[in-house]
Amino acid sequence: MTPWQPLFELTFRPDPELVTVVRRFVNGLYDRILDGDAAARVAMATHELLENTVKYSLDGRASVTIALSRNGHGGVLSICTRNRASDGDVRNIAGALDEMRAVGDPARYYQLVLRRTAAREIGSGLGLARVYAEGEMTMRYQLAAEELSIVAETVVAARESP
Amino acid sequence: MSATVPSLAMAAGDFSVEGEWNGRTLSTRFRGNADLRARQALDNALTALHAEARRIGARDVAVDLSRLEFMNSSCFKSFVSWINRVQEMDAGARYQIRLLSNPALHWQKRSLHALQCFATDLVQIEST
Repeated sequence: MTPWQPLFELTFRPDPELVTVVRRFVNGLYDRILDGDAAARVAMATHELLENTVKYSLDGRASVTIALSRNGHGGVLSICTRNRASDGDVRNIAGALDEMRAVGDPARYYQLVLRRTAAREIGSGLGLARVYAEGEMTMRYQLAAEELSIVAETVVAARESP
Repeated sequence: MSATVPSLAMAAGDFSVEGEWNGRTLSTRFRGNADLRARQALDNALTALHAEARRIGARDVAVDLSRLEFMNSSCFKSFVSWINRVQEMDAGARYQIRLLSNPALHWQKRSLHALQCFATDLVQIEST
């Protein structure tokens, strides 16, 4: 495997409209490199993770880095978002990731969260579960000096040459 | 002969919904981009759709998503809540839900499959 090579990095003050702009760009960029399904998964996960930064960033700033480690006809793609976060938000994320690991099966975990969120009046709590299940991504987080990093990784296939 | 259902018309930014009733099927078409900006309009549309389906006693509700570029998790949650409300109705009063998808929009394959798994007895997926 070649070393990690950042293909896309952005630091900005995201708002809902800008998140959509970034998602469209990511979808277009990775649709040229990966198969269409993988590009859509990456775009969806980028959108969900960035929307979380819109909701939870303490200072309104966030960054996203997307890197691809190539390996033959595919590789491992990593999305990392960073933002300042409150202790409560960090606890919520840690709890969600712990629950993912405890349940194990992504499809079963997703249905568990869907059933739970169906009755919620406020918030969905679905974003991370969607990245995990629909995005087929493993996830982890790190906290350093109040900056929360969330990393989502997935195996991807390269686009077939015409 | 189909008639437009005014209560189903919603829009927010580049997101819009419209609906019609043909005497058998209550149909809605979702278009554009369902992100955070669209969440309230989409939620209102599904609430209105459910109310209209119950009012007219619809047995079949079609939701055309073939021109919906993307749906975020907040809007997806509104779909989950709507389907959950149909599940909670008396068995004889429930209506079937047909989701019309576009295979070219790759996100729909997994998202709509998850909705179908959530309510296998109510939700069908069809490709346009």
